[in-house]
Amino acid sequence: MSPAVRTPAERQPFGAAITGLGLVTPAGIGIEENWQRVTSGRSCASRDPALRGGPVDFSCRVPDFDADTLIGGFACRQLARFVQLAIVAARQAVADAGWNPRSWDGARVGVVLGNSLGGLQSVEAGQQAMSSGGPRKISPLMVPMYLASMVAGQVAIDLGARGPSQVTATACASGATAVGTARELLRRGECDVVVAGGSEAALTPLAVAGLGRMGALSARSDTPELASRPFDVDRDGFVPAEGAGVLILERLADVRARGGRVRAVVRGYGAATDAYHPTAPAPGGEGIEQALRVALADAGIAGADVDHANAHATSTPIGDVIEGRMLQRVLGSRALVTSTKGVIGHPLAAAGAIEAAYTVLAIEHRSVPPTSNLVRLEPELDLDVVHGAPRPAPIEVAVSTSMGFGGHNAALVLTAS
Amino acid sequence: MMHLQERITKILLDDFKVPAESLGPDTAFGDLGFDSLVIVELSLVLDTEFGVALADGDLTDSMTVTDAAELLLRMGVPS
Repeated sequence: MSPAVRTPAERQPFGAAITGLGLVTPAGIGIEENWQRVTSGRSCASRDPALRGGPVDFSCRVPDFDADTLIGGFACRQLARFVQLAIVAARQAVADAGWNPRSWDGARVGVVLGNSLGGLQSVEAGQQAMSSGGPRKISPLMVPMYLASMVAGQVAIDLGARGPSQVTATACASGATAVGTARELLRRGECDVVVAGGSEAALTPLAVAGLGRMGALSARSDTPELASRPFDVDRDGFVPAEGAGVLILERLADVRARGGRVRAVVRGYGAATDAYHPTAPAPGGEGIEQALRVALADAGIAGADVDHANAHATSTPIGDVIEGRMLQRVLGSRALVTSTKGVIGHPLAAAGAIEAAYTVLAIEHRSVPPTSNLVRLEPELDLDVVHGAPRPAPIEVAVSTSMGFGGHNAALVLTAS
Repeated sequence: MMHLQERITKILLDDFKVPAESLGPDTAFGDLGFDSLVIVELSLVLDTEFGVALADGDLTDSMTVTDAAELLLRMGVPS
């Protein structure tokens, strides 16, 4: 064990129970809808009329999301889409955990959510209004609808959660960072319940063109449904997506005392930084390896004992192979690996939270979802990457890894009980 | 005047999603839950809809649909 993964002797093992899940993703709105689509292995990517004429004109959007029906009310129109997705996912998760926000002690409830791009749509509209009519035409709601921090603030308003709240911004690791941060709030006794997760909804022509100019996106415009193909030898970039995932975290003893249901347990969390390049992952995968080893040490679990890994693998030529080699080094080749991004694309800051939720569902269903579009495994990898059909398997220990621009890496260790 | 009131009411119902049962010609915007930001937002929508240029402060949270219609009339919007 290297110095980086040594944990302080006084640090006791700590498990945070996951008692509720909420999912609003391209695979559907709701837990069952998501699980059915993700285990089907059918990609959600399709041609996107809003992106027509851009360098990449396809994406994975949340289907049939009608905020007026799902949230409603006068204030709904003041909520940016990434906030709307988060509110619906958070309400699902709270109900799933058996809590009623009208009766809980809101002062003991925290909110930690990941986001990167905020309400970019409001800035784009504001820029247009300013260009055509001058500064007086800018909406006074532009800034509050843009702010990334507003997703935690608005979810707190919706749920009456008056404990600590914050937004984590570690790019595509934000959702995993949020879950790890939420667990620390419980460990320190600052909260009794934490609403943790991530949300992203910035599929605007501007944002997608920017990602496309970086060379990060797949260029398979003719066959969008084949574009997201993590770990496949013919992968050429990720498919941009939107979505929100929320998990309710509580101390295990509290859940037992209230007779709640434990869906799974967050046993370990690790974070580390590449300190290498703004957007390219470190070639040796040192950062994500350190994050995963720290998470496993935090959980007191050996890499060889991990049954299942939900990989970050976004379908980029460089990232997938760096992460795959790292998984081999840390876990060996026994763990059943999947990347659910083959089905839902890459929802950026929401990815880590959505994938943590999928990992919980894999543990519960004793089934690893297939990696969509994986036909020929990247030859450099010797991993058991599930593809074609879901693989039934008892899963006691699972990990979920996340890597973000900025060299941010985060890993979660989840157990069945 | 009635016509203006109806058009403003329609904007409040359709664009601002105000529940119909809480809205009358003499309901103050503040009582609908409009804060200062939404009041400015409303004046921008009225600017576009009626071709006027409301200044900040022309609309307030104590005003009603009837007051807004009268204000537009005074600014030369045909009734």
